[in-house]
Amino acid sequence: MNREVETALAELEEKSPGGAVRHLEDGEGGAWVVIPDVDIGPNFSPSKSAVGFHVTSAYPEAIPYPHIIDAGILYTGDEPRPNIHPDGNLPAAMTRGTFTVLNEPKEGIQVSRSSPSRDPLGDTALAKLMRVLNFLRTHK
Amino acid sequence: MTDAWRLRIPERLHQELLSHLFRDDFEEHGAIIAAGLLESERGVVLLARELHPAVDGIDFVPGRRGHRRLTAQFVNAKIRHCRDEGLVYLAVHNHFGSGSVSFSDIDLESHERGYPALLDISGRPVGALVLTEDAVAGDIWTLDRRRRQISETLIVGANLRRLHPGPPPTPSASDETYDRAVRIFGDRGQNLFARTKVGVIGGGGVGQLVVSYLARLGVGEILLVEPERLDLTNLPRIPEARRIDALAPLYRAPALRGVARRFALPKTRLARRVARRANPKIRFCEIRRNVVEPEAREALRDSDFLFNCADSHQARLIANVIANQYLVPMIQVGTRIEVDEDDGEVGEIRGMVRLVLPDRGCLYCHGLINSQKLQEESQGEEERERNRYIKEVEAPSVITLNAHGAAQATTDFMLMMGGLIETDARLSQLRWRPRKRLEEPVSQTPNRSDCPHCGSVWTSRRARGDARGLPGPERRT
Repeated sequence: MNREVETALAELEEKSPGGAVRHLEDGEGGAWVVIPDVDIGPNFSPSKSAVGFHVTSAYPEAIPYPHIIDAGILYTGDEPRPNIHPDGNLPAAMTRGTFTVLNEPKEGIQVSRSSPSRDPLGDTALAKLMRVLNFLRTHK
Repeated sequence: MTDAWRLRIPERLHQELLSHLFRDDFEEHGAIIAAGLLESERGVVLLARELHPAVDGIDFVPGRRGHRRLTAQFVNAKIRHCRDEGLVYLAVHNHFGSGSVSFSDIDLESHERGYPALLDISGRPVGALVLTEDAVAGDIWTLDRRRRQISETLIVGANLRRLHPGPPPTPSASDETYDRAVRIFGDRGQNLFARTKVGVIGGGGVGQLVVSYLARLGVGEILLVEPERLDLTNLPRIPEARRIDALAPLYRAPALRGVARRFALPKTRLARRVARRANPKIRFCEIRRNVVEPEAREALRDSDFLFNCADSHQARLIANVIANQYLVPMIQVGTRIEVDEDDGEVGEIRGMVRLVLPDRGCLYCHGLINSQKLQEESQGEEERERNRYIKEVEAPSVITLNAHGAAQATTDFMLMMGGLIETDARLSQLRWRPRKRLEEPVSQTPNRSDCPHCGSVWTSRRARGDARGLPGPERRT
């Protein structure tokens, strides 16, 4: 892993919003990361999920995107659910499918939150994760 | 590796240094420069990163043997700072005069007394510079206790000014082929082109033209990084590409198109042919890899000038990091034609040429490296597929727009090398919009001190040289 990715992992481990951080090196200087037992807010059932993402060798210029949460999550809130799926419809920016988690294909829900107006300087993998969690937790 | 050591100083740092050293009191003054280091087969280059002026009467005091000296306390603090930051310690003072400069015997004796101990503390080269307003000499000590001189100091600004310890040697007469260019740049300028290494990222429509123009200007060494082979659709945009280079006849049979794409001429090979036709003496290096791969990005480090003609954000990242970490002047060229996907209506057509120079902001702090696109490009194909990113549609492109950008960029290069950019020139991004018949500078914000690429914060890559790795995948063992 390169120095920047190691720094990102250290920050995630120190301030993990869930359980112990797991990671798998991608062989190019980056790492796939999974954080279990993260609170994703009251309008999802269950309200805790693992969150997976990829910190690539281009970090911190490339910030992790997208984030993957458990396939079994259901949305229980009142917002529109334009993403239709037999396993449960989902609000905007959330899609069910098969995604890469720890370098393996895994059923899950992709949360796609790009940050076009973010300040590119000083952004971190942890800060991006917290923005994604804030997006999930503030759903009505 | 040659024994020649060179020095690069950002223009602003050089101006600050001159203001500190040359004052109305016509006295000697002192300072420390902390510098990064670039080592390659082309020699060693010191990269001035920080200026620490010595305060007269406190840090710079009357000497016991010489005229003035840096205090032990000041030297001690700065050598430890350089050691901790992985930088080279350079003690600087001034002499008066014009056209040449050298250390006095007392200066050299003081180096002999003090520098062995400084080498032990810092664990990397240490040395001294002496300046007049138009000359620089250096006495650099390496860990093996050898001493090296600075043969050339490059002031990195819009005009790439070169300073030497004395009058530079009279250049040999240029090849008659370049007679018309020599009338602009002189033999000295033409010789300069011949000993310059230019890195070009991207061998597509713009990059092929840039290579061709550089070779015709008499540039001595070109390194082209481009992973792809020619495709039938490239032919209308590359003047010297032949149909057989793209194996065009195979396109008549749909089943053979894949074969054609697999065995067509690599774009780097075509560029080499073009460059050698223009200048048989050229040293042409080709790397058929993505620019983020270790072999490619590391080969670009010791370029004297860089062109980014690729449209990926990985290419922008690498070009921008090398420009800042190694103080390499860089030009980015791009064109864009907007076409509505639904109704095919043509929108804005524009081209851009951006200069990336120290203290003028960079692609990163100007928000021109897109984090999300970079993330997509940095993932493997399978992962990208699973994440269902929208596939990039091939962008419209035509030779005339590429030629405009390539010509502007290489003209900028030529004028910068020749020191012919006027002092009131607008160095911002140059944009043209042919549908409006408009060409305009686009103002850019100055660099941000907290930018991790070009800023002055201690964590930034600026002038760090080999002490920081370049971003991208690690070398596979």
